[in-house]
Amino acid sequence: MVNFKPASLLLVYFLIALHGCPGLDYLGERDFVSQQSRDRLRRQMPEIGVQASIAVGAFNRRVRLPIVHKTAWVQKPFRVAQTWNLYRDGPGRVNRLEIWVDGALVHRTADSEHDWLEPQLRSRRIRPMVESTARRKNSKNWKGLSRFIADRAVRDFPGAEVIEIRSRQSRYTGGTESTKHRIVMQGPSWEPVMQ
Amino acid sequence: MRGYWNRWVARCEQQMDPRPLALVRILVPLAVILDLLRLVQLGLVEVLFRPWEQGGLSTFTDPSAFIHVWSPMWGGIVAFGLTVICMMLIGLGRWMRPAILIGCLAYAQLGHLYPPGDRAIDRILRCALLFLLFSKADEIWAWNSKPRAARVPAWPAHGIQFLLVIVYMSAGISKLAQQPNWMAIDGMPVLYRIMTDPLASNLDPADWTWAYPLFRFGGWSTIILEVGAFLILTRWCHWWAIGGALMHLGIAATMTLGMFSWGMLALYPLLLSPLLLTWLDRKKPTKGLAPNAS
Repeated sequence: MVNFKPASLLLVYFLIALHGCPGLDYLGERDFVSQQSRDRLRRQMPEIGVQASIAVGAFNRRVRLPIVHKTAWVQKPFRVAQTWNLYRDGPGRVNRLEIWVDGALVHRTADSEHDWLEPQLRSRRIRPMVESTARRKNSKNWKGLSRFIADRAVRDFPGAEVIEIRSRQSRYTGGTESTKHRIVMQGPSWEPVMQ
Repeated sequence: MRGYWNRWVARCEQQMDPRPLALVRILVPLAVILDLLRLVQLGLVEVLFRPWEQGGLSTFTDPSAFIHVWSPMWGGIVAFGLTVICMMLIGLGRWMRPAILIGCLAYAQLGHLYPPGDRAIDRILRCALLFLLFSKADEIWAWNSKPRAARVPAWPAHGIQFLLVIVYMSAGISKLAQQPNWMAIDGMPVLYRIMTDPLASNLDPADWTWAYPLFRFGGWSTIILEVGAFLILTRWCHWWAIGGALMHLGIAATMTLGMFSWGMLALYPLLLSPLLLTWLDRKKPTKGLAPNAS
């Protein structure tokens, strides 16, 4: 009984370290398996680094991931998955979202003159959806964001007939901004159509 | 082997001043409450925490979501209310343990119902609260009738520190693995692209091109700080924590990531405890008595 607490704590530390293992939590099951991915590694580092990466990938695939999969149920009730890939990289292009109501610009990302719905769209819980919709066509949740924007626009602009969401993109080092894709909604159904 | 085990057992039995733990018990729920009340202010609670069929924002929910099963319309709202109430009780130190248990379950349901909005900071804070569940953080600065303890078990604080080591080191190493240019000495700094992204930042990309050297230095510092997070487990912890606090204050000033920085800083009393306790214990000058000149 004297050893119960230290043993339990050791198990908890082990699970935290294994699930969130720095460096390995980034690797998938197929990393460094195919000849193609190994060749890609060879272009980036010397042979000793390649062999070390392959060994780490094999340990991850054969030892770590099976234990992680078997113990994943532990974290689900409290939703405490141990993957910590915080801001690995920035976007390759400057992306902005624009909202047009009946041909008038009412929202543009980080534009104080067109800031309708700005606090809501910048809220940390909605921002991931705004980011994915602005960066990728047919992103996972574009329909949810479109419906949210349409609901708010109908409420704030009575009589509106057409709402358009535009994803605008430009290079970081200047250059012209262009429309990457757009979502058009027309009343009264407000069904979003990706174009 | 027995020597290592005995040292581990001794570490698990260590005691500490309860004030840093109590501060974390107060600050973490405060960060969560302010974050959730901001959603009320923005009118987003209903749209975020209702399923798609009931007018919610997310077209999918996590399979572990269960609270909306009994009431699709109100389940998420109930989880939201429960989370706020439990966080208040935790902060006050009243019924702390049941409040952490129920509060974390309800808080997790919010994440299960709306997965895109449940970020790393939410998971970190829930993990920290689960360590506090087994602590005696409510034995000081709390609204309860428990006797005030001078020393409490330190292992929950050690657990949170260990979690932070994993979080920061994992973040640092995955940054390097994904994008080796974090340590580059030329080209466009990665930190510049992150900190001038209009979707998440307050800085305009066109206005900050002159500051490449600053962003490059910031990028190197970020990697060194994150990969060096193992220092948290050493006696240099509080020096590391000063760097970490500056990084989070910088993020809070330049980016719009909600409670991320404040939530992380809410855990820092455990990292800064030597400085914090010295500051709390500083002697105040006695009023009414002139210093003896002789």
